[in-house]
Amino acid sequence: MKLNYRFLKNPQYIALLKEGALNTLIITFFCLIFGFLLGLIFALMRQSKVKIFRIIGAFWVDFLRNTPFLVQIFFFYYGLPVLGIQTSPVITSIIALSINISAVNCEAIRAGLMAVKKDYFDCAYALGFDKIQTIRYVVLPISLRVAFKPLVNNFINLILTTSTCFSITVVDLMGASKIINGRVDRPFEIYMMLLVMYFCLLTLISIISKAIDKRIAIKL
Amino acid sequence: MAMIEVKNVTKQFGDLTVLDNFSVDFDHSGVTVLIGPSGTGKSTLLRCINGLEKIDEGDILVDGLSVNNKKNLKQIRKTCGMVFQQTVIFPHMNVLDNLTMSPIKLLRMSKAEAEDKARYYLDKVGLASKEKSRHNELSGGEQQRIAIARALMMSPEALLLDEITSALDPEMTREVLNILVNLAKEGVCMLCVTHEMSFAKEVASRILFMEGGKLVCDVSKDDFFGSVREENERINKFLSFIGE
Repeated sequence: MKLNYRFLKNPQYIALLKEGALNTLIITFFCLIFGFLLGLIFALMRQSKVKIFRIIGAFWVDFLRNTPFLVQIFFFYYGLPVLGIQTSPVITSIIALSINISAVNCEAIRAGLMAVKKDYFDCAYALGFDKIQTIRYVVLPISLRVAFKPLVNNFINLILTTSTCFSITVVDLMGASKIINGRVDRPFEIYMMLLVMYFCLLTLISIISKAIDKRIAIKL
Repeated sequence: MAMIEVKNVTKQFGDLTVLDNFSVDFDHSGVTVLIGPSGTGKSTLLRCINGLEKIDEGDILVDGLSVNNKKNLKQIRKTCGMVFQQTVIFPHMNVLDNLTMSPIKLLRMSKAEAEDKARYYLDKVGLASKEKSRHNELSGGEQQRIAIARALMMSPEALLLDEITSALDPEMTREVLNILVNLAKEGVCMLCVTHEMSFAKEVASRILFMEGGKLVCDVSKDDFFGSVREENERINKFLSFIGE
């Protein structure tokens, strides 16, 4: 078989790939932030002394982990417009993916919170810190360091999952590749190129995250 | 007025009464040593004074402020620094940051001033060279000395010390006790729960013996190791049991 990458010389396809890469980055960036913040909020709720918060947090995690992401994103994109809630494919992807990843982030952060011994709380209180200050200055810095590795894994999964957003017409890297393949019919070359692109991106992230982990790692 | 007034305090954990209608006062000076068998409420008393345990009945006033009022806890904890049996050096920061965090965040002290003060106390506990170390690079004794220095950073009127040498080997215990002896000589007010009778003999001005959540005796050091020991069979037995 002779490989043919001539389609990469077509400026129209290059523009499409650029748009796809940009959308993938935009979705990843916002999902990283919102998914983390939502995960943090629900992790704190799950560790709360208030029972109703714990129940809501547990339900949130269970519901999201026990339903397929594809069904979730279809619900947001095709289901919610029935109620008059309509957003663009990219915004819908950000909302659906942020909510989806918040469940696994919640569990990673909660594991970090649970690793913080009661002694740390007592010590911080005895120094004069109130509950919020204790969480801010002591508990979160420790637990997020403990949770760093699982959070990075979730982040990598997030990037991989963005490739399913093309199913609601998002032109991300996967969507752009599918469109180009529809026009040039070179599936081997296109999807091989896509695999290499994802592999390079995620390998780079893994290397960076390992370097960060080395700097911030703590022994409890 | 006494600095700490413990008034008819009862504290229960489930069905277990740890402090039973307990009353005692502590002044602004001297070293008071709380001794007694395990589970008699010594540590619980210190934790109640610091507001770490909620009391079921009675009240504790620290400089006139009640621990039952949550709004007073910040001031009470500033007045009474506390060091625990299990050393906690925050692992996400070095020794210097451990010491400076609370004055910077709580007293709004400048970083430079806090670092100067931290270095002064690190020098005092003999660990000036360890300011950049992390908790896992320190021995148990060094960690406890740093915990003492950290408590002193808030300029407390009293130090509550809860069996701070019980998890240390004899050599490290001596290191820590030497620091406490020096602090006592400088007039730092301390309430210590300890089984180190040599320390009690050396620096205590007052000894409380507790059992079953009640105060059995509250006397001077000389009386405790002298006449009280001779007259009170229970205390004599306890002291003999711990090798005194």
